Amino acid sequence: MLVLLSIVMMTVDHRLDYLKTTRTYLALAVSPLQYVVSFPIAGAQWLSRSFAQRTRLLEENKQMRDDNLILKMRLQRFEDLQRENERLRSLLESSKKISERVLIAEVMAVDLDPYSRKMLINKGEYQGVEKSLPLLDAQGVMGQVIETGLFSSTAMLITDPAHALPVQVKRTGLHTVVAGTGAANSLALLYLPNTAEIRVGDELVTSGLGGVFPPGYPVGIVTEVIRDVGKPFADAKAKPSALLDHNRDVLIIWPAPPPPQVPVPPVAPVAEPVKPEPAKPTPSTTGRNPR
Amino acid sequence: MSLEKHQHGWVIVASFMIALMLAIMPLPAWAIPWRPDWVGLALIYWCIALPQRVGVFSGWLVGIVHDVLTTTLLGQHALSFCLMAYISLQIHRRLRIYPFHQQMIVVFSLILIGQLPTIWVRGLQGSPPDNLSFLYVALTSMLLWPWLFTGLRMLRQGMKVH
Repeated sequence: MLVLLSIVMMTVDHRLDYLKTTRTYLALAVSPLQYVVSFPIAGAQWLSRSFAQRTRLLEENKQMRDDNLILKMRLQRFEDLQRENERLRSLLESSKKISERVLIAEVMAVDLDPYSRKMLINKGEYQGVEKSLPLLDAQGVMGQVIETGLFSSTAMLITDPAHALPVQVKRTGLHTVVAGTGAANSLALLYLPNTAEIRVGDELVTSGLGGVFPPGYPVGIVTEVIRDVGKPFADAKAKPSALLDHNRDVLIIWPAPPPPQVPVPPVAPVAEPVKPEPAKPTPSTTGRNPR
Repeated sequence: MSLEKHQHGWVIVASFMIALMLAIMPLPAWAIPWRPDWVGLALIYWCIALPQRVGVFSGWLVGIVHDVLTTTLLGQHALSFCLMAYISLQIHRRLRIYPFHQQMIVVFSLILIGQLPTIWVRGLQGSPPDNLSFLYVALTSMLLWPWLFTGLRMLRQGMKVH
């Protein structure tokens, strides 16, 4: 009986959305356990911070002030560029909002399913977190929110084998898809033709196609390209730019709404809804094996 | 786990809570495949010690909580704990009087059986296991069993949980 029930529940959970609310409430009920587990580690970090040496704090403070100065200087330039960009865009009559809302969340020190790459963050629906919001750190894209509880939510990292993300090679503008491999520090580039112009050291940034991730954020650096003439696609690997495993604080970003209009389609016999998606960025739950 | 009829039901609940907490405790990356199945071990112990109180349904409930905590599919751990609880209930009389080394072998196979649904589900989801890491779990759980058994028995007798 219960075995059957479990199997039915797994199927429903996998294919449909009915159990989502049940899961949310259950998650709320068990979240005290997660907080209890997370507490000693958070407490230890707090202690080490509060007993840090004065000289070190001063040093850190100075470093941060320097960083802040440099960043401010860059920001001035950036603001100028942004204004120019907006003006040019208004000339081209394509509007684009750049304002993005940001929330800082903390990663809870809790291990989840060891076979997937997920993590728990301490902000949930109460703070306005929604499903499929992108997660970033100071270095680059980390992943996206896949499940929200009231005060915590689960995020899938870009290294999860069920995650794929549309990217662009910064140097050449080549579009491709980056999928997780399940390994901690490796991403796979999918459907890359053997003749594609890509080499080791190329930077990958989000392309913004698919609408989940805002365009222009660093994703990774190509570490390996193997071109085998016998295979249809080149075999390329990349290293994520974000420090996926040793982060305490992450940024949740509410991306600006995508541009409302697509430029005139070249041939449009059927009135298709606006959806220029060559790749599926959402975590596909179907059994997709990269190769 | 009716608390009225029997005494000290909270001991059982608390032991499961602690097991669940150990199951989500952060470990360094190399140690994660070796993490023993704490909840499974606690379940096996209570099934053979108090078969009239802890059984398949308790296993299922604990499994659901485990699933929620680790964000696996709802029912994945529930299924494996059902299987483990059922088998341990069937053999609890023999298992009680076995010496430790024989118990350890049984526990090893029970935990391995408990790993099966996880492997199936992963296979169905498109990421089948590529190494024998599921054996590590059973191995560490087996090595831990004598200590856990002794400890929980002392707790049970000290608290007079019947």
